[in-house]
Amino acid sequence: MEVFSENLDLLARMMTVSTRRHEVISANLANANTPNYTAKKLDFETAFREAYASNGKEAAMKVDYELVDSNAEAGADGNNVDLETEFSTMQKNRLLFDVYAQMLKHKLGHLKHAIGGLR
Amino acid sequence: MDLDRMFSGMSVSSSGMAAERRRLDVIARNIANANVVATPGGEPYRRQNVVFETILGELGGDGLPGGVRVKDTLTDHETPMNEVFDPKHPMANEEGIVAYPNVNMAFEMVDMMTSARSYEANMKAMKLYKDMMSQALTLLER
Repeated sequence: MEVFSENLDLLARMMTVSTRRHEVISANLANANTPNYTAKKLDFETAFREAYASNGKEAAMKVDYELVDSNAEAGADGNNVDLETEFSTMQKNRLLFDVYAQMLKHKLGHLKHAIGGLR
Repeated sequence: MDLDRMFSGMSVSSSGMAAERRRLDVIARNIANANVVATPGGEPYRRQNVVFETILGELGGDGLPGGVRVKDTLTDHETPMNEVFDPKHPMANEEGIVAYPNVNMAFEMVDMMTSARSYEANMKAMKLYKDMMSQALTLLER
């Protein structure tokens, strides 16, 4: 039996992706007043879902996130950062991060429980 | 995830905060000098403006946008000076006109508000990042 295979690696990966996404959003917010800046979005889920559906988990785990330019309308200074969008994405991302962290914590708790039971 | 990457999200936000603070400094300078008709060079004060630029990858790594910095502080030679007719003023020219700085209070106020709000936005992002990292650290608890 593989003790640590229970999607622990996937949850850890999702936490990393969440962290990276937060960094991208932070960069968009930091550049909210930079002329000609194009807002970036981090996409992982689309590629992951496709790889998972066609080639299974092994292949999906190798999928990397990618940066996509936002196609929102640019203002007079050529900057298309939309604060409301960034904030809602940031909050959503934060909640997802908490979900992954809690799930990981629970899974680790189960393992600890099982290990303790041997004594 | 290596440990110094753990703080890169905070460096992105702090670069934004630093840049906005630099902008506020320049706005404060414009407002303070709004009525200065003679700078040490003898010329009236001219409005100054900051230009931001994106730092690519240096803080975030992996080619992620890494934050922002002040590229340059420009002096506004485009906007005409605010000319006031005041023949008794010591700095008045032959026609009795005094050139006051091209600082427009309404513009400065709007810029100041934008800057303060952006500073706040960066601070929120940093706080959220900190919360996320503390959440991740609870995984280490027994």
